[in-house]
Amino acid sequence: MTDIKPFAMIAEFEDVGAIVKAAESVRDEGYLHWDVHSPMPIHGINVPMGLRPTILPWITLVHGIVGLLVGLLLVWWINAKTVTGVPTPFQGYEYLVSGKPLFSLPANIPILFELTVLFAAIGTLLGMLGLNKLPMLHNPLFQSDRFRRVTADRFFIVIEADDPKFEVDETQNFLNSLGASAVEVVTDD
Amino acid sequence: MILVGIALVGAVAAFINSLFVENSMQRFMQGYLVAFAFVLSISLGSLFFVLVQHLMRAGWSVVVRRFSEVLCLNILVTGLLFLPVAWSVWNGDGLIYSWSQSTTTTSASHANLESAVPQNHTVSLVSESANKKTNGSDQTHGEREHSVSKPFLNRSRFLITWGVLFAIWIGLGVFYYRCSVMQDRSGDVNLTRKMEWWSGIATILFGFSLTLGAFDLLMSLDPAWYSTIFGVYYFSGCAVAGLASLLLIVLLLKRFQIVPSVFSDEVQRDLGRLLFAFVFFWAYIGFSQYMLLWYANMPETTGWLVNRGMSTATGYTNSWGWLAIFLLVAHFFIPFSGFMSRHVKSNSKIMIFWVVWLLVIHYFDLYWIVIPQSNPNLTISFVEIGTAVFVISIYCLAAWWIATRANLFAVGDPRINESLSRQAMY
Repeated sequence: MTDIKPFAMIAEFEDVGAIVKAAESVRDEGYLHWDVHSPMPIHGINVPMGLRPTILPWITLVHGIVGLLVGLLLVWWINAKTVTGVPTPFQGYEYLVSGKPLFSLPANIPILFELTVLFAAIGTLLGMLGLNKLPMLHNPLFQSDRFRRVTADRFFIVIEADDPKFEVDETQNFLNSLGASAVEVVTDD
Repeated sequence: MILVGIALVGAVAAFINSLFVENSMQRFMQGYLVAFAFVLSISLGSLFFVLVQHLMRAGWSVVVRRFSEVLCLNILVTGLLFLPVAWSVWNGDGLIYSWSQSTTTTSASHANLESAVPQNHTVSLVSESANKKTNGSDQTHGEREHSVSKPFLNRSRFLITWGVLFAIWIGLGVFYYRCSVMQDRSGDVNLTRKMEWWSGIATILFGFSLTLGAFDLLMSLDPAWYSTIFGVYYFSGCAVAGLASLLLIVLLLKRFQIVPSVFSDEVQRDLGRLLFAFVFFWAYIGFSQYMLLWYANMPETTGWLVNRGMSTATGYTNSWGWLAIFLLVAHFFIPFSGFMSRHVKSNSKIMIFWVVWLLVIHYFDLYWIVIPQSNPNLTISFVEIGTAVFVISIYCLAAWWIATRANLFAVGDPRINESLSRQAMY
């Protein structure tokens, strides 16, 4: 264990109350790169963990605005525009439909709306995956046999080794003092 | 009570002012119609909320459901407030609906409709047929629309329909209020099952009755005009009004610490989200209606929009267009960006502002539907404001009367704890 770099330290807890309390202590102790793992959602765990609100809404907003602008450009260019000097394959079509103006917002709003929604939705999905670092094909935590019970009946606090406050002995003592039923170092191959 | 005083002041102001404006009785009755459609939309929106909660077996909303049930039962008082409208139709004075005039000879109805068409020295699309008359064609506008609408738009059919509509709405309101209040005492789970069982049928009844009601009450103002989506348009306003009223009650109770710490922030945010969704829904439906009429460009359907200032073509514009633009901005863009944020939804003070804002703008939405029919130019006076104050005060008074005679919360509901312990999921 001395020459292999530790990836994280995991502490096992046996019920929700214990892990919520422990999460508060880890937050107050000043750890930054850590997480709580549990078999089911713990509603409101964001408060004891001190999680900041996600920036995902902003990603959605930006994508929505980009979608709107792309849609506007699309309908304007394709339907309404002839630009001198641009080669013919890239010119707009200038469809005249039932005497309507070539470029008029009422007819184009559905397209703007759909593209806004499409870009916002795809941006939200990809943004969520990106923020969660997914897809992740392998996580060193899976090397721990103890950790497997996280999908059944145990709760874990994982403090990553790249946390500025991480010191193997100190962190181990700290996690033990929180009432963890077991503390273990997971190594990174 | 203060509300009685306000109601009287409103009524008196409306009466006095109506002496000074043209077509005073018409202005008065149409202003009254706007106010009536406004309070009706609050009750129908509340009915919608109650029905959907039972339809979805919702637990989160139990703590606020009673307020909606009260507003929904308050449809009793809108039944009373409907009487002047019914009287106008029964009387055949044509003050509200041109089709209801008792002297339905062609010349009389024609004259009336001519005056309904904008006269700001422009020719609207509707009066095209009137021009044809001078060219020798004898198919006048008045004749055409009456021949089309006679089997449907007549006085007895209108009154019978509204009797049935109020029977449905009052029936549903009383049923859901009584079951819920009975449950306060007994805590009987079977009452919840009963309400849920009926909610499906009730929702279907609600949809049909609201659509028919919107057609009769607002769309028939222009007897020649039709829009199949109009019922949904009125419904979207109803949902906004119902949810806004509910949220206003919750926020005021919270703000003035009348029932402290009952409503979690999460319930407030959830209501805000629903309201937000229906603000968008209103714009979506309003635009859908506009775009189809715009695209089809049929003279008999665009006339309604021309009357309301929605045309930009030379000679067809009028000052109602400013109200139309105002609605687009104030009923959609401003509130949409205004309370999109979660932090705004959690802030009681700011949300009170938005909720009151939406209620006011919703009134002007209905105003824009009704008043341009007989006023060629943008206008507002104490006639409309006075009647609105009068009707809304009576409505609030009745709601207060009902609310003080029952628990403020559905304490017997088996899901009340789920609602009380609700917190953020993320």
